[in-house]
Amino acid sequence: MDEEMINMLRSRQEEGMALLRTNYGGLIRYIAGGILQSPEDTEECVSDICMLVWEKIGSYSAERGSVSAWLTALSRNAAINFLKRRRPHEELFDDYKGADSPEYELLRKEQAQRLKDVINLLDTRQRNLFFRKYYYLQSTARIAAELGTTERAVEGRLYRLRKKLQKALGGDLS
Amino acid sequence: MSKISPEDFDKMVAENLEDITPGEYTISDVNPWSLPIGRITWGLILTTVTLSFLWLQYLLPAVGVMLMYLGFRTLRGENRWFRACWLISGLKLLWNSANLILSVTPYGFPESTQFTFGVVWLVIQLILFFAFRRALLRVFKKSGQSKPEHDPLLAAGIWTVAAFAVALSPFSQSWIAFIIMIIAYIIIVRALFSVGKELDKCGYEISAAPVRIRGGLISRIYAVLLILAVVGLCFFFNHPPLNVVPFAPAPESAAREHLASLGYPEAVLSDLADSDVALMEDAVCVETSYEILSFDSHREENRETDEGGGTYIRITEIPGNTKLQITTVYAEMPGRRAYVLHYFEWLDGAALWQDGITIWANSDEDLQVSGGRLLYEKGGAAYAASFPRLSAGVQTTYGFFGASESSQIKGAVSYPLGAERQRGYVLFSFVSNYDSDMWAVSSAINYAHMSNPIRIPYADTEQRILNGDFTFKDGFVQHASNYDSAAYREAEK
Repeated sequence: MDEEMINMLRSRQEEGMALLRTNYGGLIRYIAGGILQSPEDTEECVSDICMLVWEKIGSYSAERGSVSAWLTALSRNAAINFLKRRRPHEELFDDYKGADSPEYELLRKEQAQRLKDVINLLDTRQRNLFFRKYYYLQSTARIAAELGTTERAVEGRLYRLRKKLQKALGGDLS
Repeated sequence: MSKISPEDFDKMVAENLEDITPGEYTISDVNPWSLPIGRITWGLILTTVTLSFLWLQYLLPAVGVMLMYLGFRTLRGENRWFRACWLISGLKLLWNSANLILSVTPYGFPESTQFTFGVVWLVIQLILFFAFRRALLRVFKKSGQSKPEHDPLLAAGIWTVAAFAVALSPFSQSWIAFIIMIIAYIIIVRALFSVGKELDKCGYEISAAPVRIRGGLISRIYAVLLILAVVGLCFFFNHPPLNVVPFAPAPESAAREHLASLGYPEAVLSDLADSDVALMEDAVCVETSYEILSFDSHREENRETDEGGGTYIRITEIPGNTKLQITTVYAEMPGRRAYVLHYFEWLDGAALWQDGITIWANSDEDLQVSGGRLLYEKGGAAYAASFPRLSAGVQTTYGFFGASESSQIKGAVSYPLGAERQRGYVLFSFVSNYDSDMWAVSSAINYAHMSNPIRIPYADTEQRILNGDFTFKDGFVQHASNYDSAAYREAEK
C-alpha cells in the first residue's frame, strides 16, 4: 500500500495525496500536534507537511527507512519550523541562557553522534520517554496521559533521564 | 565547568536531534494506543484462558483484570464506548477481587452457582467485546476511514461463545473438545493481538485521558491489598479458634483402674474425659495398636549385591521431620459392642493450620461420635478443647474406584500457635448386628496435615480427604487396624 502511495505521489497523482492523508494523516497530526499544541496551528501545519511531502517525495528512499520514519522526521522538522515562524517571540532552541557556555559548545560540536551513542545505552522505556520529550517535544501532560501515569511521575522519570544523559554527555545541571 | 538549567539542557538535547530519526520500534511504540491496547489485549487474554495449575487460575485473571482496567482508563475519554469498556473492566476488577477474596473463606460462592455466574460473565464479556468493537469503529470513523480491514473482536466474541458451549457439552472432557478449545484459544489470542495492528492507521486520533493516580501505583496497591487480604484470610480461616478450658488430669476412679487393668494405655487413659471413661466401665477386653507416622518421609532405593553376586534394589523408608503417633484402642463391651478410640499425638511437628481427620469402621450401624477432644500444653499449663469441627454421617468419598458412600466421622484438628504436646482423640461406638459373639471390627483413621495456611480456594481439610485430594505422598497418613471379639479369638485358638 505504501509503495502504491509513493508511486502515485512521485507520478503526481492526486490520489496519492488522498492516500497520504488517509493512511498517515493521523501520524502527521500526532507529531505536529505534540509540538504545536494548538489545534488551529496543527491543522495548518498538517496541510503544510502534506505539501512538503508532495514536493520532497523524490528524496524518499525505501532503502533508508520506512515511510513512517521518513514522515516522522519530515513532520517534526516542519512543525518546529512552523513554530519558529508562527511564534518568533517564543524561545525554542536559539538564544537561550547558556548558549555561549562550554556545555552548549560541547553538545553542538561534539556532535549528534555522541547523543546517538547515549540513546543506544537507554533501555526501551527510557528511549521512548527520551524521544517523546526531546524529539516529539510532547508536553509532560501528554506524555503522562499516554503512559497512564501522572505528570509528577513523568517529571520524576525525566529528572532521572536528564541526570543520566548529563552524566553520559558531560556538563553539570544547576 | 559552569552549570546550566534543566530547561536549557533540554533545549540543547532537542536541537541536536535534528539529524536523528527514531528507530522503527520507537516510531511504532510512541503513539497514544500502543500501551493501553497492549494492556487490554493481554488483559483479555489472561482473563479468557484458564490454566489450572500453580495457582495460575487465580493469578492470571487477577493480573488480567487490572491490565484491562488500566488500558481502558487511558482510553475512557475518547468516546462513550471506551468509557463503557472502562466501567465494565472496573466491574470485572471488583468482581474478580471479591470472588478471589471470598474463595479463601468458607463463604465463597458454592459450586452450584458456577454455571449461573459463568453465563452472566459470558454475557458481560460479550458486551465488553461489543462495546470495544464499537469504540474502535468510532475511532476509525473519526480518522475518516470507513471500517477496519478485519473484525478481530467479532471473531473473539464468536470463539468465546463456542468455547463456552464446548465446555458445557457432554464432550467437554474429551480430547476432541480439548483440541477444539486450544484452537479456539489460539484464534481468540490471534484476533485480540490483531486489534493493535488495526489501529496502525487511525490510532493516532485517539486522545489519552489524564489520570490522577499513576497506573503503577494502582497496580502495586491492588497487588498488596489483594495479597494481604488473601493471605490474611487464609491465616484467619485456616487457624480456627478453639473453645479452650484448663485441663487437669482426672483423679483415679474405679472405671479407670478397671480399664488400666485390661491393658488400656495409661498415657491415653489419663487424657480421656470422665464421661468417656464412664462409657467403657463395663469393658471386657481391650486391645491396642499404634504406629508412628511421618508426613514427609521418603523412599530411598539402593542397589545392593547379595551373597550369590546378584544385584537387587533395597527400598528403605527414610522418616521425615514430622512424627505423629496414632494409637487405636478397642474396648469390647458386653452385647456385641465395642468402643473404638483413635488417639493421636504429635511427637515432632504441629497441627496449626486446620489438619483434617476422617474415621471409618465397618459398623453395621451408622457411626456416632461418643466423645473426643484436643489437648495441649502452653506456657506450662495444660488445656483441653473441643474439636473445631467434628461430626458423623454418611459421606460420599471419591477414590480410585470412583464415588462411594459410607458412614464416617470427620473433623478438623488445629491448635493455637505455640501449643506443645499436641494430642487428641475421637471415641465412637461399634455395634455388630451379626447374631453371634464372634464378630470383628476394622477401623481406620486418615489424617491429613497442612504445613501452611495458604489454601485457594478454602476447603475443610476433612472434606478434601473425602474428595480424594490427598495421596500418601502429600501430607496424608492412615492407620488401620482390626479387632476380633474375645469369643472369636477363643474360637480361633
